[in-house]
Order: sequence, then C-alpha cells, then structure tokens
Amino acid sequence: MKLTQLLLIVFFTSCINHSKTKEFEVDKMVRFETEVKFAKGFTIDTSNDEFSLIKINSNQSKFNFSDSIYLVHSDNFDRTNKKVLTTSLTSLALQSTTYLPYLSILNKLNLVSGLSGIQYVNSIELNDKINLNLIQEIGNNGSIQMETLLKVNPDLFLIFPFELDNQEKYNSKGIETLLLSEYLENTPLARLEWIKLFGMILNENELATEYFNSVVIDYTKERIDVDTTKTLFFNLPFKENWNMPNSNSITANLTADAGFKYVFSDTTNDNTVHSKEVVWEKAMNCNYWVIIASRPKDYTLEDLKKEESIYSEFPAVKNNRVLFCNTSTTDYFTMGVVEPQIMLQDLLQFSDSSYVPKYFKLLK
Amino acid sequence: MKNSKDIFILITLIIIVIILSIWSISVGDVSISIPDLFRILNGELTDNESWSYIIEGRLNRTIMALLGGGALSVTGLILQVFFKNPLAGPGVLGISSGVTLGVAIVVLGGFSLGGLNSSLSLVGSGLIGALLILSILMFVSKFITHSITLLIVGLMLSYFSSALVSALYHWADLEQSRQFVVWGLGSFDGVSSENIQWILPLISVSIGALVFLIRPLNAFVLGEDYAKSLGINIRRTKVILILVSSLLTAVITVYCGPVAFIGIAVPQIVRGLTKSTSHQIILPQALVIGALFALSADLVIRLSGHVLPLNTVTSLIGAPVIVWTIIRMSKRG
Repeated sequence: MKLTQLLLIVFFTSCINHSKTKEFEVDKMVRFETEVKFAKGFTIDTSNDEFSLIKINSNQSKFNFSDSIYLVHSDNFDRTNKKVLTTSLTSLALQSTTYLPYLSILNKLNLVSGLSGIQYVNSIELNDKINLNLIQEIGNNGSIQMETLLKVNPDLFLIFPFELDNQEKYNSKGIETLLLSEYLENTPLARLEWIKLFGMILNENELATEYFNSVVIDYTKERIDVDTTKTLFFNLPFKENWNMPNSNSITANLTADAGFKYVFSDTTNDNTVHSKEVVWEKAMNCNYWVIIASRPKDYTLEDLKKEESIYSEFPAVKNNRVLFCNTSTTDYFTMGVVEPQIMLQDLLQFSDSSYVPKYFKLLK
Repeated sequence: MKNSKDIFILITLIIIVIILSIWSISVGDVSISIPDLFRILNGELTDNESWSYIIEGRLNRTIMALLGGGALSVTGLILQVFFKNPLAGPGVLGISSGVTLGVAIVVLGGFSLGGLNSSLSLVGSGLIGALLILSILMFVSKFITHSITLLIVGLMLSYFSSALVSALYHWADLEQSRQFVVWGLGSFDGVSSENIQWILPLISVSIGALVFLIRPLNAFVLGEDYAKSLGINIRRTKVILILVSSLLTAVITVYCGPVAFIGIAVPQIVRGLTKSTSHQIILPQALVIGALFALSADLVIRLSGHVLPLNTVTSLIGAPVIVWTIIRMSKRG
C-alpha cells in the first residue's frame, strides 16, 4: 500500500509542468557601433543589421569557457537555439558585487533585484533598496540559493565563469544567464572596458562609451614610465604564505602605470604565493610597500609595525612609504573598478599633503 | 639489559632530534650559509637585515614543533592510561574540539575573558573548553564499562562542539572565518618570541611535573584498586592529570591549531619500540618521539613549499599507525 502511494507521488510530481514564467520578447534594440580596445575577455560584433553579438571568451589557457548573447534589432531575426536579449530588462540578479559599479555609472542600479554578497554593498541607493526588502540575498560566498533566485526571477542573471556547469541548471528553470569574466583582465582599462558590454545589454551605449573614453583620456594623461628605483612589494602575509598579485595582473599593471617597479615583475608563472622568508628578504631592498587589505578604520603605521617586528626594519616603513588601501572602509572592490584614474592619481600624488586620496593613502 | 636497550633508543632519538632541529633552523626558502647562521645566533650583523628575523622565525617554529609534538604525545599517553584505552587521545576524546570551541567563541563570537589580552583570552577559553570536555568524559566514564563506548562519547562531544562552532560562523565576518579556517589546518609557524618566552617554561614545567606522577601512572595501568593499595591518592592524581593534560592541549592547540593524530599515534609507536611498561621509560620516549614526529612533519611542509597543511601530514603518518594499533588489538582479542 505504501509503495503504491509512493509511486503515485512520484508519478504526479513528474507531471508538474515547469513552464517558463517569462518569455523573452523579440524587441528591436538600438544598434550601436563600438569597438573593444583593451579588453581580451569579450568581443562585440555589430556587422549585421539584424543583431549585435556579444561573445565572452576565456582569455586564459587554463580555464576554457565561452558564452554569447544576441541583441536583436530586427523582427526577422531567427531566435532558434540562441540566447537573445531585449531592451525591456526589468530586473537583474548578480552573483558578484563587482558588477555593481558598472550599473552605478549607467544609472541602472534600480534594476538589481537579487544579489550575492549583500553585506559588501556600500552604495547608499542599493542599501536603501535592501532595507526596503527590494533586493534579495541570493546566496553568500558565491553559492546560489535556487529557491530565492526563482523567487527573484530576474530577466538576466550575471554569473562568474566558474558557474559554467550550473548554467544549464539555471536555464532549465527559466533563468537566463550570462557569464562575465571582467576580473580576469590584465589592466585597469581593460577591466573598465566591460562597461561597454553593460552599455550594450542595458541599452546605455552612449553613456558607457562616453564614460569609458573620458576615463581613458584621464588615465593615459596621468600614467608614467616605470622608474626602476621605485621598487615595490605588495600586501600582507597570511600565516606563512604571502599572496602577491601576478606580475601581469590589474593591480601590478596599475602600480607600473604609476611608475613603480614591482619586485616580482620578472615572475612569469601563475604562482603568486610566496613564503614569508622570501618576501622579507626582498622587502629589505624595496622603497615602497602597497597594501590592499581589510583592517580597522583607524589603522596606523604603528599598528602595522605591531603585526610583525621585522616590519620596522623595512625601508618602506622606515621612510614612511607604505601606501595602504583599506578594503573595509573604501570601495576598492566596487567603485574602484570603474575609477582606475582616481586610483592612479592616489598612487602618484601620495606625497602631496594637499591631495585627498580616495583609495590609497600614505599610512601614518 | 632491557633498560640499557631503551636508554640507547632514547639517546639515539635525542641525537636525531638535535640534528633535525639544527637542520630545521638552517633550511628554508631563503638560503643562509652555516657561517652566517652561527653569526646570527651570536648576535652579529649579516649582509641582509632580514636574515636575523628569518632565523628567529625558524627557531621559534622549531621550538613550537618540539614543544607541540612532545606535549601532545605525553597528553595522549596520560589519557590512554587514565581511560585505560589505547585509542584515547586529545583529538579522539574531543578535548581538542573543546579547545577549538573555546577559541571559536573568542575569534568568531568576539567574546573575551574580561580584561585579558587576546592571547590570554584564547588560552583561557581554550583551557575552559578542554576542562569542560574532560569533566564530562570523567563523569560519563563512571557509567561506562566498555572502552570503545567512551571513544564514541568523545566523538559525539567532538561533533557537538563542531556543530556549535559551525553555528558561530554565522556571526563571524569573512576575515574572522578565514582566520579560523586557516588556524584549524594547524601550523607551528607564526608564534612570536614573546609568546615562546612564556609557552616554553609553561610546557616544560607541566611536562616536568609528570616526573612525579610516574609511580601513580605505573600503578594506574594495573587498576585503581591496585593504585589505592600502594597508598596513592587517586583523587589528587586524577585532578593533576586532568589539569596537566588540559593545559598542555589548550596551550598547543591555541597556538598551533588542533593538531591531529600526534597524541594518539605516538604512544602506539612507543609501545612498538619498547616492551617496558614503566612510565620511567615510556614517558620520555613519548616526549622525544612526539617532538621528532612533529618536527619531521613540519620539515615535510617546509620542503613541500608550504602547500601541505600540518594536519594533512600528521594524518598521513598517524592514520596508518592507528589502523595498525586496531589490528594489533583485535589479534589480542
């Protein structure tokens, strides 16, 4: 008898119709000619009158992924087996808060209805929405709560590339996804250029291009050549390991544009973890120390010295040349993405007492 | 004759420990020559100022490995005698989990023992956690006759503590959680000279105090009634054993994380090396082999480029020893 009941439950459950709650309409989108100058992780093809095609590719050999989305300009466009998008985006879910700055610049924060990592949000506008329960936490630390995501039911869910295997899971439940890999870019301007992609999908092309071009002008105007006497090392250790940015990373290239010579710039492999001993020895020959870390609000040079006695011996500490970006009090991980020109200025103007830094300040 | 063989083994082990300790101080990611090493140890200046700090770090790490390995082995031995169970140890009985809970309450929960600095708060809360678990085990052991049942109780207490720790993660921020997770992997690195200055005498005195408990421990092996008949104060001995084992576990766990398997595996290795049942022989051998075990594990980590966590290495060596012990126990019936 129990077996019969069980079989009936299984039978009826399997008959549930998982109809898609939202159908994408074929709307015409504004066609906008644009080109990608710095970014390596995406391309925009506007050569066809019926559609624009955005392709996302891995720009690293170790992790292969790709995604694409068609922006439809014509009613005649054949949508079969294609991911298409209209201008009528009414809601977005984001797996990362690092997508927020792009939306902020394009004045589209109001579209965010689901977000992973709400606690990292510094935006007043978003916090107001969070307080009104208009934005749902869809999962912390990258792990997505499917039920909440379904409840949010966004038009588009922007996800990390490592969610590649879960894409089908989301799509089968009617959630359209797009992989974004802006964090894999190698230079600040390349990462910023992803604003063009956001401009395309949000139909804010002109604003995106205008913003991008103005930042490129400011950034290029400020950047200087590397001065080999301005040697630099990064960050703080965790137990015996010291994480340093890759020599071709956004952070390393940003400091190179500010004229600093990174002591591990000759390291070409991906292993950016060094032992404390190696860094201590190198630090004795470095004039500058750039730290990007989370510390209390009023963190001082004295606090840094207390963390490890050898720090007092570093020339960078002795000569007050420690540039510190406190990730707990600045928007480094969010707005910093779209303000590389300000970060560059901070790194260039640190010795000017009249200059008010936003991200990197001289630790005193 | 037997004693002279055991003494020979002990002296050989001590020599190996000394050689490994010198090696441990001289090898690392930065190459420092032996003459420079001795110059630094003499307080003289060298080409690179960082070298003296590097040697200091290696020295502290070596000392912590020796102390940690020795202390945990001796604690395991005491607990095995105390609970009459060859599979007992600070990890298996949940004592390390008690310390972990204490540390989690301070690190993740943000509580501190009023007025004390963070180090003392951690040791204090860890000690309270260890004493709490040991007290529960002692109470429960009154109603249990089978030795395996006590291990299961220890395991349950361990699960219970771990569940409370998991709950505490919800109140912790990402940085605190990260710190706690890394601490849980175990490491002899990062203990400052200031901390070594009080850990070294504390552990030494605690282990030294056990010399006075060799006779009671020998008697305990033959049962409490036998010990009573020899005029041993059972209650006082138990209290001292609990305090010493809790203190040793708490101090080492707070500074090195919950180190797996040393406490349970080393006494088994000792029993395989010697036929003696006298703690006059077993205790110093456990101390030296424990130190050797921990120092070797730490050297493996350093030579592997710091990619292996301490508990991975100790588990790789310790788990087969435990399996061997269980098979040996089963053969005995």
